[in-house]
This record gives sequence, C-alpha cells and structure tokens, in this order.
Amino acid sequence: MLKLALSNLFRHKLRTLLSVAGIIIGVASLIALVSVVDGIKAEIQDALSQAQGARVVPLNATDPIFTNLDEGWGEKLDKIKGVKVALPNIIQLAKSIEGKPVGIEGTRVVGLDVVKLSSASGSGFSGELLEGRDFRPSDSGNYVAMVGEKIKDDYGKFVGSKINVNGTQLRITGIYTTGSDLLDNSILMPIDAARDVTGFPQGKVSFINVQLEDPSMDQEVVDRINLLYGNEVKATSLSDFSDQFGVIFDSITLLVVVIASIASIVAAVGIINTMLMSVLERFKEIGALKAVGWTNDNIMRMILYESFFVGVIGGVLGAATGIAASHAIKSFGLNSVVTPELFIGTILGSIIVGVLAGIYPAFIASRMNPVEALRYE
Amino acid sequence: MLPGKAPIIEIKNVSKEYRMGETVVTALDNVSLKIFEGDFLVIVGPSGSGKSTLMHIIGLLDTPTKGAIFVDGKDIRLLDEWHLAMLRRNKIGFVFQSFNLIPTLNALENVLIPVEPLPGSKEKFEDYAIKILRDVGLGDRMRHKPDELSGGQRQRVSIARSLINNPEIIFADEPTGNLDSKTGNQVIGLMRDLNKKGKKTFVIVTHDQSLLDYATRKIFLLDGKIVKIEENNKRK
Repeated sequence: MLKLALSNLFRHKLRTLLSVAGIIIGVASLIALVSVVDGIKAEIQDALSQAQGARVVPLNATDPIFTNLDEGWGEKLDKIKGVKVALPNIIQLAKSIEGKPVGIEGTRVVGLDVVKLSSASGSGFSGELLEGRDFRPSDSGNYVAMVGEKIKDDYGKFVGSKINVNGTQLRITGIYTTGSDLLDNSILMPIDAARDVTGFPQGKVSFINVQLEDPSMDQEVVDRINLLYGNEVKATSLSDFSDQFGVIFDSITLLVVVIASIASIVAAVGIINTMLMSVLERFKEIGALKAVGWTNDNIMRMILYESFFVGVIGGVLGAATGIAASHAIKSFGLNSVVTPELFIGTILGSIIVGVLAGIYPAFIASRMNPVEALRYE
Repeated sequence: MLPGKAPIIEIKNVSKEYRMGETVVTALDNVSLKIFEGDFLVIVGPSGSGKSTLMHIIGLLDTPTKGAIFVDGKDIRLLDEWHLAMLRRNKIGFVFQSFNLIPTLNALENVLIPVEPLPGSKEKFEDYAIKILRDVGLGDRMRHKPDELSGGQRQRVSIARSLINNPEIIFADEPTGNLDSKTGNQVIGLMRDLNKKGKKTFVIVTHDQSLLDYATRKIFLLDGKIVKIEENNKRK
C-alpha cells in the first residue's frame, strides 16, 4: 500500500510539488534561522567560557562599554579573601582602524594593567599566543598592542608592524587567538595607551576583572564582594554571565520556533487542501476500492500514507535546503550550526505535520459512500 | 438452477427509497431474487429502472430500506461496514462499466488491488494474478498501464481483478457499456467461459438486450420492480 500511496502522489506532480514546497520552505527557514541563533549562541558561550572569575561593574551598569569606575577599586578588591588579582580594564569600541571607520563588527579596544597582569593568569582576553610575546610590566606607558588573529587577517598585520587605532599609532608585539571570532576581534594595549586612544577619563576604568585563587569558589567571592561593597558596585561571576546569555538565547530560539509553528500551520493547511482535492477527484476510484473489499480503515491508511510521504519528502528536501542556506550564511561571516537535534527534529516535525494534515482528508475518503461514488457511471 | 439447492445470495421483499429533497423516490419496490451457484444472471431494464441499485444491494455495497438479504442463508442486516467489506473481499468480485482501474499502476498491480491491504499480498497472490491475466489473454500486457491498453483490454484487466480473491460471485455493471460491439462481445465471451468452465457465478446488469442470449436466467426490471424472470434454455 506504501507503493500505491507513493504512486498516487505522482499523478499530479506539480500539485504534489507545491504542497511539498510549503513544508520545504517552513523546514528550510526554521533550520536556517535556528542554526544562526545556535551559531551565535555557541560563539558567545565559547567566549564566555574562556573567562573565569568575576567581573565588577558599577551598580546599575548596563554594559561595561558605557560605564566607568574608579581605578582605585582594583586595590580594594585585591584585599578580599579568595581574590588572586583584581585587574582594572578599559573596554571601548574602536572608532577607526587604519583610518577607516569601524562598522557593526565592533572591534574593541581593551586596556589592561600590564603591571598587575604579570601576577595574573592571563588577561581574560588573550587565549593562545600565536606570534610575538605577551605584555610585560615594562610595556606600561608604551604604545604597544596585542591583536587577535581576526585583526591580523583583516588588516594584514604581523608582529612589528604598526596599527593605527582612532588615529593613534601602536606597534604590534603579539598576536593571539582564542578560537572565538568575537574575542579575536580585539586590540589589547596597556591601560594608559587605551585611555589616550579612546579618550577615557583619567583615573577611571570600565570594570574590574577579578581573578580567583580557586576558580571554583567564584560564587563565594562574588557574594563576599557584594556583601562588602554592594551599595557601590555589583560583582557577577562569569559563569552567571554565561547562564544569562543562555536564557536570552533560549527566548530567541522560542521566538523562532513560534514563527516556524506558524509556517507549519500554513504548510498543513496547504496539504489539507491538496489532499482534499485529490480525494474528491478520486471519488469513484475510492468507491471502487470499497466495492472490491477495502475497509474504511484501508482507505484511511492509504490517504494517511500519502500525506506521510508529503511530510517525509518535504522534511528531507527542506532539511537539505536549510543546511545549504545555513552554509551560505556561514560564508557571509555569520556563524551557524545545524545541530543533529535540529536536523532530526525538523524532519520528524514535518512528518508529524504531514500525517496530522492527512487525517481530515483520510476521514472524508474513508466515509465516502461507495454507492454514491459508483452511481454516476 | 437445480431445485432444492441453497442460494448463495437471496434478497427477500427488498425495497430501496431515496429522498431527493422533498420527494421520496422508490428505486426498488418489493424485489425478491435468489442467486445460485453457476448462475449467469442478466438483469436488463431501461435507465432509471433500478438496475444499479439492485446490483449494489445484492453486492452488499448498499443497504435496503425494507426487506432482508441472506448470504449463505445468513441474514446480513446486522453486519457492520467492516464485516460487509470482509464479505465483499472474500466472496464477491466487481466489474464496472468504466473499469475503475488505478491509472498509475500496471495491469498486474491493478489485478492485485483487492488483496493489497492483506499483509504479504504480493508474494502470496502475484503468481495467481499472472495466471489470471494469461487466462484473460493479457499475458503480454501485464506491465502495461491502463492508458497503454485498449478499452477491451482494460475491461479484461478489470475482470482479472474481480477474480483475484477467487470469489463465488461476480457482479458486472454495464461491462460492455464503454466498449464497441466487437470488443463487447469478446468481453462477454470471456465472462461466459469463466462461467461455463470456471464455474463462476455472474450477475450482469445492462440495458444491452443482446446480452440476454448468454444468460441462464433473464431478469427484466422496470420502475423498480422485477416484471419478468425467464429461464434461458437456448443459451449461447
């Protein structure tokens, strides 16, 4: 009966194709959208997972780029139990690089306290050193920079070459990679140079990056800072950041799924319409099948198989199209990931939509009166 | 017909009424008929005489408004749709005027349609279907689709389809209605052979008086009533 159902679909190839197209569009757009959301989410979480410890920002701060804090907090936080070192950081978006305005990709200028950095385990920004050297205390006050691999690739830089940021020349001493494009799109420099480059107020920093003696104790240290200074600053463990991003992205994913559900309903209405038409067209044929001994259930099964196939074909072709679209998006520079769950879930989903959409036409077909159908010979 | 033999199907005082808007149309009016094994019944009557309704009721596709139907002596009025379908599948074959073949399937696959819902039907019935197709003279047309066959060949496929479940009785509704007289005669000849040599029982509904020559019994229907039943001793 499977073969019969499949061959029934091929009677009106264009019509079948159009109702399949409804599913293809739904599935493909769902995969493309979710893959981009998942890709960005993976990238941000990857970036966040590289940072350990806690971040201290002014109370009611929204984003460290828009706030500032007295530099003196670094010394205060150093004294708190469990804190290895409190690193003052300046973070600002670059206005221009090599004289060209910086677009939405948002290259960041990061100022680091290179003296204190020597007692820290990394800056929290530079992952793995690819070329050149790390900062050292003697860099303090100098116009030197470490750039991420993305900057190196985008601007064709190497160790020893100069880079012009917001009109100020800096000499590149090192190139690093974190494996995350987001983090690699940063220019690290001594904090005084960063103040000069970005015009950041003297004596102020964007936030304090608190490194811990025992990274697993982050919640305890955060609680301690908030207990002591909670009326002035807010400490957040970086694992909390990660969780918050997860929540935000879950709601974005939910939105996409809602859009996809609407698309599925539209596709289902298309299938119901097509199947009803095809069932009514085969009025006599179905009457004949009943006459030769098919039961109502047999008829129902045949029509459900047909809509099942519409779901299967639509799901598989839609998933293939979606993956292709996701790859195309990737080539434009946006990260996108098609997870196995997404792939299998959308195919299963479209099969379910297909079968559900077939129920009503199948019911109509199975209840057809064979005498009515055969009367008009 | 041998006296005292039990009929395969018997209808007793059957009436069928339809409601057409406000008016009630009586398609069959108190009709009784017995069908015996080996019969080749030809039911003739003008259009609107109730032929098709009669055939659908004897063929267990339709239910009467009044009267009783017995299959092998059992009253089937209490059977539900599923059991009636099973009776049709096991005992009855149908041949239609417009063949009602499935256009996407070849002759062999069409012949297998009645048994298609049975599990493993292809393996079980394919050899038999091939044999039937050879018997009806379509041994070289088995892989042809209906639109690659002539009208007469299509009706042969349809007859082959009616035989796949090895039925006791085959109903044919205007089997020659869509065929020219030459191919019509060939199709009738095939059914007569199946009746004479294959011992199949046939009930044929037609307005084509020429088919009466082949009948074992001629039944004349007019305005929903059987007006005459004739034994045919000079059967072709």
